[in-house]
Amino acid sequence: MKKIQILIGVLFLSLVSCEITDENIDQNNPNGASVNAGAVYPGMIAQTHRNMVAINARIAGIVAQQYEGLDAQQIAYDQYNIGEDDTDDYWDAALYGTGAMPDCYGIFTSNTEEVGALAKLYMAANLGLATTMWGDVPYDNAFIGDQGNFNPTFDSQEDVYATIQRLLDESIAGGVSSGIGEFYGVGSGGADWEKTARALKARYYIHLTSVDNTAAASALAQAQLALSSTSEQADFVYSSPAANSNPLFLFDNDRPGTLGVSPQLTSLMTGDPRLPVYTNVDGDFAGAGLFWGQADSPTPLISYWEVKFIEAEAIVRTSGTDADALAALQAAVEANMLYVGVSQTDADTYTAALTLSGSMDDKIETIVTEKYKSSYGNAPIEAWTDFRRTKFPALTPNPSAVGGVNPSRIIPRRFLYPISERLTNGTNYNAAISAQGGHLLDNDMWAFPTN
Amino acid sequence: MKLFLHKRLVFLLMLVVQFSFAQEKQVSGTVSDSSGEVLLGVNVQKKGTKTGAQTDIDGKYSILAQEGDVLIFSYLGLQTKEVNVAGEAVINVVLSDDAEALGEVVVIAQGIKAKPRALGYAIATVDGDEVTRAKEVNVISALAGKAPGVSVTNSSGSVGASANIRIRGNSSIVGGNSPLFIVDGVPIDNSSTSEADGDGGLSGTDFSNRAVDLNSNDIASVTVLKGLAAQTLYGIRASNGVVLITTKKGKLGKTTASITSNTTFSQYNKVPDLQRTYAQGGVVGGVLTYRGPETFEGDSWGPNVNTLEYDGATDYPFDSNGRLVAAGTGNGQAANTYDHYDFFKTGVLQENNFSVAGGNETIRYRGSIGRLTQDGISPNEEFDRKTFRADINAKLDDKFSLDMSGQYSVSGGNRVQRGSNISGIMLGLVRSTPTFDNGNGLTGQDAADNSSSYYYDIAGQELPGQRSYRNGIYNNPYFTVAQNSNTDDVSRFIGKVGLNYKLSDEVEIRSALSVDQYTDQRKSGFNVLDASFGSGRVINDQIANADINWNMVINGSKQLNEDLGFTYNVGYDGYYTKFSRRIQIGDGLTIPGFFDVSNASSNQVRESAGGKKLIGAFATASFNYKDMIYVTPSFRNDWSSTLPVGNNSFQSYSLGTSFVFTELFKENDSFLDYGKLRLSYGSVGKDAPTLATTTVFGGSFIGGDGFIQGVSFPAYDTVSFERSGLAGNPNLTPEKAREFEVGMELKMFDNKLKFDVTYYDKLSSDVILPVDVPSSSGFTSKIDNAAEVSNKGVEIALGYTPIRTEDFQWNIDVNWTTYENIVESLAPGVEQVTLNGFSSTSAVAAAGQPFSAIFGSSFQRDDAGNVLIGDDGYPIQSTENSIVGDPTPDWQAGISNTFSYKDFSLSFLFDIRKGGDVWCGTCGILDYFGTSTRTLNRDQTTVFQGTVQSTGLPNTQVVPYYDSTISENNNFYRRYGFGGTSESNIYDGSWIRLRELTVTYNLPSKLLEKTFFESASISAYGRNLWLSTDYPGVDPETNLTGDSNGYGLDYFNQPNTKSYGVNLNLNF
Repeated sequence: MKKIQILIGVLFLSLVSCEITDENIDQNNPNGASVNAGAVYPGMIAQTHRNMVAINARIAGIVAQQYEGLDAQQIAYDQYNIGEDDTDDYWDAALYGTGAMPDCYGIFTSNTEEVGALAKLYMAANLGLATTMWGDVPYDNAFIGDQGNFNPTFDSQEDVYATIQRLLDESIAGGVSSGIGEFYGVGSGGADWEKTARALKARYYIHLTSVDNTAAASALAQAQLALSSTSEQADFVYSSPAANSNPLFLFDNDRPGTLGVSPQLTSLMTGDPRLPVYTNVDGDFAGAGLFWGQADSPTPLISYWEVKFIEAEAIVRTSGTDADALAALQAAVEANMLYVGVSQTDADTYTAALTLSGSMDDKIETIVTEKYKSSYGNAPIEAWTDFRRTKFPALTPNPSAVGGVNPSRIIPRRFLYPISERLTNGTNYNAAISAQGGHLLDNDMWAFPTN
Repeated sequence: MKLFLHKRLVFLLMLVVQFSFAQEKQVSGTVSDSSGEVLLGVNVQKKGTKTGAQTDIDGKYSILAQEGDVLIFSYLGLQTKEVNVAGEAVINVVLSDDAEALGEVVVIAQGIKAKPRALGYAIATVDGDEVTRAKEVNVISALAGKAPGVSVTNSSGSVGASANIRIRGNSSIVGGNSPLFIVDGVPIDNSSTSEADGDGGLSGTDFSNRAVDLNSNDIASVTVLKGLAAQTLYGIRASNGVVLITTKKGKLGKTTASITSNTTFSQYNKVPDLQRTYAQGGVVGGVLTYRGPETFEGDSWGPNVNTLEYDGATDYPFDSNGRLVAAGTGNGQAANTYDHYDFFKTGVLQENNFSVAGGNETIRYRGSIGRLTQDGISPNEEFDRKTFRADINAKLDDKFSLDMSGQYSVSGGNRVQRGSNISGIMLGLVRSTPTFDNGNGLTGQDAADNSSSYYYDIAGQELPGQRSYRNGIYNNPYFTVAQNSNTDDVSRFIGKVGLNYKLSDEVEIRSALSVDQYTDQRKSGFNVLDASFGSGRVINDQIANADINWNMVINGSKQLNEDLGFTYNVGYDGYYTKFSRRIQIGDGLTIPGFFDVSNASSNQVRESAGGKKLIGAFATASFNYKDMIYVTPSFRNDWSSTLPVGNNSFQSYSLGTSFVFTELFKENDSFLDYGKLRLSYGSVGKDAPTLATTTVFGGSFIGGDGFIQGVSFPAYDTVSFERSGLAGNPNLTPEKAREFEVGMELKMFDNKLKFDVTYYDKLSSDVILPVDVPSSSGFTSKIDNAAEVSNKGVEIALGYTPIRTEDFQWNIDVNWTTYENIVESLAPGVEQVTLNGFSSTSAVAAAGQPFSAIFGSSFQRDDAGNVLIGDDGYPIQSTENSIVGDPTPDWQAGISNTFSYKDFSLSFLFDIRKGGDVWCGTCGILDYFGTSTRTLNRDQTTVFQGTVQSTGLPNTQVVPYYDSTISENNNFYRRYGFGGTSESNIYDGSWIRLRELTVTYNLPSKLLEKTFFESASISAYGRNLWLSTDYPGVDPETNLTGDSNGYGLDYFNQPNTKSYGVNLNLNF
């Protein structure tokens, strides 16, 4: 009897002395206080460079007719059947959500100006992608769910463009040139970050040529301070295994036979010395000898040739001399050709044949069409943006286009807002849609009115 | 020594009893239980006297009696029986263990026993014979159709595939909805751990739920506790119900041994119909054109097969007959088409079990070993299980007794890939174009064993090409089963030590410590040339889990006066679980087929570990008035480690009442033998998922592109972290569930008709879930107490014995269940939460909608609900996704009939499901690729019903399904994107199936007299032999996401099986 009482006593004692909540500490994942900026930068940068060429960028490439859908979902995208559940992953996991922007925000709000400067530059780059796809997007009170705001409002596209310029100014002023946090994948580095910031400023000024008379002049001023060679551009170089490889290579690996190079691009580039390194007789975009479809193909954040194209266009728009514009154009094309492995001789032959003549529109068509060829494989979103902004190169909508989300069956002017915002942020989502007069694929956004 | 002494004393006593009455007339006989086992120590008493005897070790008794005497046979745990002596010299008696017999008890919780009449809630019991009848490998699958309120969903017919069990629907949104499994008082783990690199079960391999480690042959009975009142004593882990498994035990008497051996054959039971009329290809230049495997194209929208013939080329790797060319331009040999389902073979299962059991006054024991080997219906698909189990119950002295049990099992096999997965079997198989022979002249296992079915030589290359209808873009299914592997190897130990101490006749203390520990070693290999991982991949995945449970209960009873008494139970229990997992993924294999880390050129490693501790204290009492009215209040308090510090305690309570109204008129000779009303109310608290109270950083994952693999850091020679998209919540409170249940039980006409009806109404509130938040907030979800889920339902069980004679008996058992499972509300501003599925079609919890409603794309409609038609004559797709289906069935029923005539018995079970939508994702994709029979209408025209959007008038425009002068991409099955609209692929999943059919013959004892066998039986059985359903895909019983909360999804699921076999049982 005694023994039992002792036993019971011991058992009850063990109950009281249990400190059970210690069990609930995550052993495998650190908490925020112990994570420094250097531990966040690499993932953020890798995500941003992937954003330049993956998923929505691929869809942008399809609608801009650099790519052609051959199977399954890619055919639907080619028919402009791009719904609210097709472009949402990019919003939820590439830009916002678990994407790059909250990382940037976390870095520059909890570190010194200098440590955060590069995060501001990358924030601007990602915000630029967001607004060119969706117009009005959240920024001003975004990323602060941890402070209790789970319903961010959408900033007008005009404000977003101003924010991009402000972030880049702050980045430059904060000392981005020191490159704290820089990461090139397995590449060797050497980017000039201040000039990269200037290049981005030039890009986001030139975007506004349809709505801002000073845009071209601002873009020109920044372009002339920006990257002066391809060796200064921030290239991210991928590696193996397949998951870590270039997203275009990986797409061909994971979804073979579903996407090819568009006949539109192929015919536009007939005789172009770049065509053999862009695609082959099967219309592939990845595979042996194809420059942008190798496991270790680089993705620039923004390229030197893009800067020179912007400069050429801005010179034309600000009534500069044709000679200056042509020089910039030739420098752009040459830089791109040499970068993808075209010989100097072939590049010289090609650039020597370039001319600028006719009306301003004619000159811009020449410049933007050349830019279209150079953006293949590295900046498909810019190709789509330039088409919406300048209507160049001249593209014909897919005759197999279907209605639904694109009632007028034109080349899409935007993407639908993602289903996630509709289901969780309805009030702000609806406000953004009504402020822009709709969000179907044929609704123009503020910056890119149909000309 | 002591035991021996004791035994001798018993014999001596019996001798004394016999000799003292030797001078009078003797009645003798054998007493056995309903299974035929003889019983030692049965009390035989002459009614109204003190004269008595006991049975010996052979179950024999002898007593002096005369005509007119009444003998009372009583034995603990069995029904007492009275027999009139009518002058016979021999009276053999069988004591039944009828659970409802007055005085009989059922174990309800924590080892606490109660009389069925005292219960204020419904329970359902399935006995061991019913569990093993159709030889299901997974004990959960064996419960299908056998108990009201219990739904079982098999993920597929793959060997060892997981099965999902739900009792009264779902109440938790992201937490588990699986009931608690308890084997002889030991809570065991029934989780299923999805793939290392998984996506919530949408693809990859379907691994087992861990109840598969139990050997059905060890099971004596399964009791299902459904209501919250029943569960209070188990606390939070039981909030989805409890499945109490009682194993077979040794009985007093001589040692008996039993051998069972069975062989079962299985085949696929239902697959989607594939067309064999149109060839691979599409429209080229406005003409239907054959496009062969070498084009990599996947469509079967080409010309009619009868317009093609072979060219006879002998160097063409994709067909030994040569290339297909237009008729008239080849060698005249007409194009063949193939039955792709000849990939599947007949699966064979062999199972052998051996057990010994016995016992004496102080010790009872049972030991068993079981071995099961199974070959699946896919080539190379295997599952193997060995189980060892021992149970010992020993009386240490007058007061102490010891309970020990141990089970060790080894299980595992080679699993197949399925689902949304270009390395899966079904995906490549059913998309295959009719003119391509996957097996290259062979079928089934033969084709898998011969690499010429899936490889072809490429001149000048070391590696071959993959021979598939898209030239390697999708795996040839034979490549998948022959070159990839997916093995698991689970070692598991479940053990218990219990000590009971009898304080007095009325009070006992029971305590027990148990452990359930397993390791699961998985290895997956994707060989070089695989469609998903072309450079090869090896995954090593080590999972370890340990659960420890301890408890102590004081059980007592007190009779206050003749009419009023009570029993009480007070105790506490604890639970500690820890889990760890290490995953290593190696990519880039140099030596093809050598799946070892050393052969991988790059490796990623991940680890995770977690634990949880729960402590609870409880008290219950049951008051009994005249065995007629019972009132049972219970209370429990839990402390959980997963809740915020300082707010981690919560309560559960219940009140059950039962009123046996037939006690009021038991003296009358009524047709009603037994009638009871019951009423109960329970409220249970539930804790949070582990690690939900804080926001953490994890290794950066570079995603956002559902078409390609993401990057998991460490990568690019560096580490990186990012904040989790899931915001933790330090202010979580426990979930609550409350349930009201009312029911009635009736037995009539000498117990020939039994009827049981239950209505329940359950509301779960403050349900904890990750609520989707706008990702612009920097998170994708936050953990919150955010939902209310209701479950209401009616369960009916009906038992009828139309005929009962000495030789012939016919029993009918019917169970019928209907329920409504509604997500009543979600957090403000949240419209829905995704449970599982794809971005195009998913299973969601949406406010006001049934649980796991199917969400996806649909057609635009006008206010009257008419489909809107565009000016081109085709329906217009909606711009927003919406709810398109409800997978909850209208009702489910099981109808079982058992006939026994002398030594024969025949039983069959029909399982019926009415209603319940299933999304046939497979169908939409087959339509897209043009391989389904539905697309045979491609040469026809139609007028789509609906209203023309631009005019508002009914549509009259005649359009072709397929205008082959433009493009295959504009045809009806392709114009709405890959797989069409979700709405087009929602089908009614109703079925009627012959779930089980068994014929048994017990060999007559005369035949066995000269052998050493006590009894023997042979049975033939079938499972799923017949299925009637309008569903066009595989068996609608399957579910893509297996044992998860999302269901109603079918996307290249492995087919389910039908099976038949023979079982032999010998006892000696």
